Amino acid sequence: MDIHAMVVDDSGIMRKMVMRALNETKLATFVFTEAVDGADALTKFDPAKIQMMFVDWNMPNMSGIELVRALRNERSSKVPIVMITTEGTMGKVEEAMDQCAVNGYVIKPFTAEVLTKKIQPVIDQMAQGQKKSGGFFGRLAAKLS
Amino acid sequence: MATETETIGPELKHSECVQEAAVNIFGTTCKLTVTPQDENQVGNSDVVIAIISLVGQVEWSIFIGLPRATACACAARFAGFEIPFESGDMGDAVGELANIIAGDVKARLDARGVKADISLPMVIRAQDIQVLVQRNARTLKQCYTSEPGPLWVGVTAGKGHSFVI
Repeated sequence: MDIHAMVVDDSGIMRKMVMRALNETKLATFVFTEAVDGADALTKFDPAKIQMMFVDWNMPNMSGIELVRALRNERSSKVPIVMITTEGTMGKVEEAMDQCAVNGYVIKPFTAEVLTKKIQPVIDQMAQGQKKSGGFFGRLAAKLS
Repeated sequence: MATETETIGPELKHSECVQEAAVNIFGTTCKLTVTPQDENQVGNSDVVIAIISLVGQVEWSIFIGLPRATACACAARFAGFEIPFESGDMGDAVGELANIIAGDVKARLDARGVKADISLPMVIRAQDIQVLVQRNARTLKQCYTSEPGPLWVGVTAGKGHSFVI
């Protein structure tokens, strides 16, 4: 099963590492769109196409948290977002999870095992919302269970 | 720890967080065991330097210096693939390492009730480097040995400080 995910990080190396780790989770076959910062991600974001997002926090032009706010508030998007960042203080986690409805939070450095643990609940949560409709996340969650 | 100044000023209180974070991150992300050494010079060689700042209740510039062999080993172990020293990806990898170290520093400071935010990193590749600091700035620098080669980690503190390299 395919998941089209957007990976947003100003570091090309980090984008490669995230994509490789996601593929290693074997939770799905990931297809990726890359963005170099929040502004680039907003330009490339297509709600009909992007099913999950993995977003860094500290980026030039537009930070990850600014991107999340723009998606949630200005575009009313409920796309699942997992932040992958060095910002590990409780204040930042709360800002992202509670105030901006980020679905998952991974602190760098990370492993494929950590990503699996963090992404599984996100997929399960989306599946609950799509269970009756038999939508994408419902089928994926059924496959994982 | 080898120091450039005779006493640690108040601006560098908690600065041991920087060395602790660096040792931790080099160990976990690069699988590198680093051992403090007293020698102050990395040597006249190609070197990559990353600089990243923390601003808030501390005003620090944290810098890490990696000569060629150390940089290539760290970058390859961090990224999981070989990165040529001369490539743009090397700056990317070392910058990200600095970012992760700064994140670890920030978390350690936060645990002590000290709040600070992280800047974006700057990375420089150069030869025959000398780190010069503005008068009255406080700098603490520690040199390390490791299996691929030496490296150094330092922190400069003080309002309105700047670097000349």
